[in-house]
Amino acid sequence: MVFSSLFFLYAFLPVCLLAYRFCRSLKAKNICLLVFSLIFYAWGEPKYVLLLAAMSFFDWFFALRIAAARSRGRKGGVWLALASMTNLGLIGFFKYSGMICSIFGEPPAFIRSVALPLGISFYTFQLLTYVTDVYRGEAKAQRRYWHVLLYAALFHQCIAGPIVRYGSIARELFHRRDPRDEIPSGVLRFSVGLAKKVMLANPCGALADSMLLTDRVIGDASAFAASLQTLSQRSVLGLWLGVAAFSLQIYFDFSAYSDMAIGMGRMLGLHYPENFDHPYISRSATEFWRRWHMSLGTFFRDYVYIPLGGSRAGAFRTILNLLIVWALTGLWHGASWNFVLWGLYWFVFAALERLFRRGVSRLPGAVRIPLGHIYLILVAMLGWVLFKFTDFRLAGAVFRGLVGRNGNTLTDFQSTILLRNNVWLLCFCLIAATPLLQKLVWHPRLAKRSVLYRAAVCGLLPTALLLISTACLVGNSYNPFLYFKF
Amino acid sequence: MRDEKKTRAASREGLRPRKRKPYIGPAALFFIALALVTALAWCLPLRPAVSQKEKRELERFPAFSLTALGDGSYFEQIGVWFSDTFPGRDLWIEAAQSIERLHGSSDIVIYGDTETSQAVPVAVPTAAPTPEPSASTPAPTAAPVQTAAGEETTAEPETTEEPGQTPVPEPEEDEEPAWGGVVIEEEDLVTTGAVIQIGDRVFEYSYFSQYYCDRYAANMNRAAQLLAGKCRVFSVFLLKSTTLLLPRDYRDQIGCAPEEDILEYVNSQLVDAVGIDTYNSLLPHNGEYIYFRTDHHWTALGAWYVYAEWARQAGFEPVGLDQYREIVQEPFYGSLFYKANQSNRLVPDTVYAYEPPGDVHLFLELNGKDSLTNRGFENDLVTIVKASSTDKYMCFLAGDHPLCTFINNDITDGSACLIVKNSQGNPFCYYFTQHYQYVYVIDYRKYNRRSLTGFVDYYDIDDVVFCFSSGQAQSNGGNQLITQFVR
Repeated sequence: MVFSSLFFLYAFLPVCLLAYRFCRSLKAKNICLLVFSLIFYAWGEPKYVLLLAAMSFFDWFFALRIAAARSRGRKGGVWLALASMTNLGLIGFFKYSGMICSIFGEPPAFIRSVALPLGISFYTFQLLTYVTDVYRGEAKAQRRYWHVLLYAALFHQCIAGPIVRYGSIARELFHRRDPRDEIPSGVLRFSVGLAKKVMLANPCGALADSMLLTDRVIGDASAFAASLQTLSQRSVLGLWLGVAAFSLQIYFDFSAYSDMAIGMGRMLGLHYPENFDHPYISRSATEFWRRWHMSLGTFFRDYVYIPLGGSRAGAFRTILNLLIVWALTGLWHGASWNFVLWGLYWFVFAALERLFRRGVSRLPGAVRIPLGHIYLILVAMLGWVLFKFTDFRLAGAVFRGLVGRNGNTLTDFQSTILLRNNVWLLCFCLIAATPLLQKLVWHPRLAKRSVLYRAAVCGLLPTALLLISTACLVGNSYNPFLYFKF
Repeated sequence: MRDEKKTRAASREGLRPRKRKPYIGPAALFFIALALVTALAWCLPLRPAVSQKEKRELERFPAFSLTALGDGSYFEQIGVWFSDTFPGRDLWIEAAQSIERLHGSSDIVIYGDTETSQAVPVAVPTAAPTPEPSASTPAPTAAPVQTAAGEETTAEPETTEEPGQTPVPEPEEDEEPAWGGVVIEEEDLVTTGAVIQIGDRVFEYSYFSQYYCDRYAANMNRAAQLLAGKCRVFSVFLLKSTTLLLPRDYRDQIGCAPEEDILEYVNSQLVDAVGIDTYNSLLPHNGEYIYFRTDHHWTALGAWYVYAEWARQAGFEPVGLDQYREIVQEPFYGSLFYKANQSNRLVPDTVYAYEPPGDVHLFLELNGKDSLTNRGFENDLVTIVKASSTDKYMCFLAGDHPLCTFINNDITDGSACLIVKNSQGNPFCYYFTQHYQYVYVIDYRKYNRRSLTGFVDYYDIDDVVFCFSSGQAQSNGGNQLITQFVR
């Protein structure tokens, strides 16, 4: 089930909110959340609920052993190692076994038949933060297993993030109070996320697919020759249009899901970390990754980069640490070599920026700032080509086509029509990708003072967005969610 | 924690704890809307079962099975059912389309993937019979299924009987083995590829496959050779509305194959069969209502112009439309309406049907089983489609049937014509009733009793007319079936 589905909006969510509302104690509310979270997860992956429950059980057990070891004056490193091995082993098997086997040839049938469990990359990382935080003494080990299960399975963020560190949410999860003033802002955030997904990400996705092919076609080996021919014949304008649309789709898709998660959390008094901060306004690759999927970046910083020594162990070690982090970031996004390459691609730019940081900072602002924006947008857009195409030959055809090296024309009828048909959508998306719209609409001071303004922004706007999104969802078969495959 | 302590203390003192009420404020409007639409969504009687506009049954609630439950498809299907049958779906969809119109500023929309077509070779009339497509003929990407094209078997001798005033009963047992293999059920196979919406109407992209055009021409020639001395063979190769209604340079620009060249090429390959120039028959009338806006078929008016050209070539005087009784039915939402995502810019069509003059009767055979007395049953010449159905094209021959028979009792010379067609031929065949006592209409996708020669011998046919859309003539399935029939 996805948040942007009619069944979620008009079956799951109302029943869940109603049931939650009638629970009086916090324990009852949490049990209610757990039950609905397991139903939510089982809706898409009935059999893998057991995997989720088992992984939560292992981590609950290992955390208790770590706590017990600590009480005896030991560190409990063995239990942390065991927990890490269990978590990484399971994600390795379910997510990466096919990729690893493919190095040595055709993966065996039983490996090929393994389906990727929904959200395994997210909840595995969350459980890792739990055990690690207990090991570091930053969080207490949970006595109750179902508390750990609730943390891992909470439907707001279980399958698509944000990756919530246990230490940052534990207190709210088990000792929260009903939100006093945050329901309206939670509703607003949720409806904005829903509209972003349905009204912006989906049409951008359809546009991107029409120029760059659908994931199904890209992944179909038997259609490779036809796909290569199609992409090679696309005009330069068509390919740039496709890449731009895909860049916008992936941003709105993922950030919308985070918005909805954050909004629903706020309605219940849970505060999840922000996951996106208008990444396309960045001026460098480093800044982009401080604004893009922030919870993942924080995870790698706190649990990989800094433990490896960060930037304090010399230049060579710093570069090596960066390389490891970027390779892992790429690999986290998918069990395919193009994702590894994509991670390394970002590493190259991040490393270069470190090397030339001083030189660049000497440039006058009037040159540096616009050049920085152009540089980042180009780097990000070209990076998404690597991200989208699991086959390097197809990606190569797109790269060549972007500069007209396929013998393709500059423009063609189809691209021109598609551009004209989507010109206002793209313009709106470009504005919505900056903080401009948010600044125009949301004025916290005015919201405190003016009832009318509050009614319009927190009442009328979310209602209108909900109804418009519903209209867009009825009869619309195009409603993918890109980050589900991670 | 502090709150809990306070609560416990208050309980001990026998006081009711003060309950913190969450502040909902303006968000109440959102929750009210959520509740109302939820209530609407669960009004099961309001959930539609059929979409008249899309001409399809909407998703049904899935049947429960442990397998489906285990692999998640059961829940997934519930989600699809919930979304597909959402109450008031047409209104929601119209609203969404209005929003979609804000995306851009063009009147033209392309739906689906376009492909690059093969170049059409220059038409050179063939002096000798067209050979079967050989290895030198470029084959399409997907390897065509080799059929029994070369297996020309002589049809078993059949008793030639003079058909009476009612359709002659078919033999109880098939005298020839039934065809196996591919059966094309839907028109979807005809309308492959992308469509382009320009203003209030939709056009299909046209493509060219030399391999299949060669196969089609070979089939026509073989039919003519098999029937040499018995009857004449005509090929009516129908073109898409795109070809007749859009200027050539515009079609070149959008990447449509030039069907007038394809027609010329195909007709140039015909040696023994007579190719009708459908392009030039229709071109002078392309300002008239000769194609539907929302459907891939031509109108009865378009069909008449091509019929008139056929009549001239066949040596008949075409009977003017003023002799026919016009029957009007609307609204008609055709197949392209759905392909264009039911765009609300599209204007529904009107179906004009022309009922032939004279003592003409139409008999239908429904799959050879459910016909009354096994003779086929008589049907209105033009079916009045029920008002709730938007598929008004069904008025012609009451849809696609294996065999339809027109009998004109005003003609008593025993003349007979066979029309082999797909659905494009439905409005076309009415006009032949003015020249023959019997007009047999076979939908080659459904009819599988006799071969061409068997049919011609059995019913003593004078003329055979193949009426194919360009898409069907260039499809593997269509060619395969017609290859099986032409023997």
